[in-house]
Amino acid sequence: MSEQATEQLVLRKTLVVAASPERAFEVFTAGIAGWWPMATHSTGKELVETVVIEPREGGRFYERQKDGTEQDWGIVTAWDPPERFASTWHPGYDAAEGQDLEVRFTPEGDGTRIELVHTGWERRADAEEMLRNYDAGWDIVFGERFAGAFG
Amino acid sequence: MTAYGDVLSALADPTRRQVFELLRRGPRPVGELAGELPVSRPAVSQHLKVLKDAGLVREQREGTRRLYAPNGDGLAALRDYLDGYWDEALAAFKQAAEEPTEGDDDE
Repeated sequence: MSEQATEQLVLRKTLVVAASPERAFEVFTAGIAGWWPMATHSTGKELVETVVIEPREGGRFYERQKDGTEQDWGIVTAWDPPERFASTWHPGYDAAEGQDLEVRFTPEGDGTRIELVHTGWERRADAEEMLRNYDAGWDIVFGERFAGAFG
Repeated sequence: MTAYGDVLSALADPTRRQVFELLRRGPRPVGELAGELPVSRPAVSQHLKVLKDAGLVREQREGTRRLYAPNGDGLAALRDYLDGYWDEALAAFKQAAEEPTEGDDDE
């Protein structure tokens, strides 16, 4: 993937919430099933019953559907409560093609600043597979896999 | 269909992805593209039309020649979609994080 395209697809989001970093971290991770818009932001849509982030490095980040099917979204790569957690991000497609997600929680006044960065698209471009097979280019993430997970 | 949906659909086809990638090296006429691809010229024209409709490719004239060039609007639409995806999730998170906690007076 070209540098330009990579740059275009680095997602950064910042928001401040009126809650302590401890609570913000807790709600974001342990409490994710209470707020994550599962019906639209999941692979199983309305079939999704819950979302789980296992609280440790190496833990699973996944959705569980009503029939018990579990679909991985990523693996926790950093677990530093209440400051930060990170995971790979590959809802609905192969882990080798995943991006990276990082969420930081910093005290700000009486609240907490949350910074979310969704990046790592270049991993696909660097993949040996892409050199061998043109169709494994970065855009397949969107065209066939990403679309399925997010559409 | 929304713009990002058009982009995703347009890029879902391997040949169209190939056409799109060829154009990222610079504007080309349809005949030249057809020469580098294992499909007919009318097929390339059809792919270019879909890419154009999705905002990934634009047409430009150079004298009597018609050239096709990459158009940043399509990827921008996809970017907007991803922005919206996280905005929606984080708005829901903010609401949950700011809810009073039950039976927990010390927070």
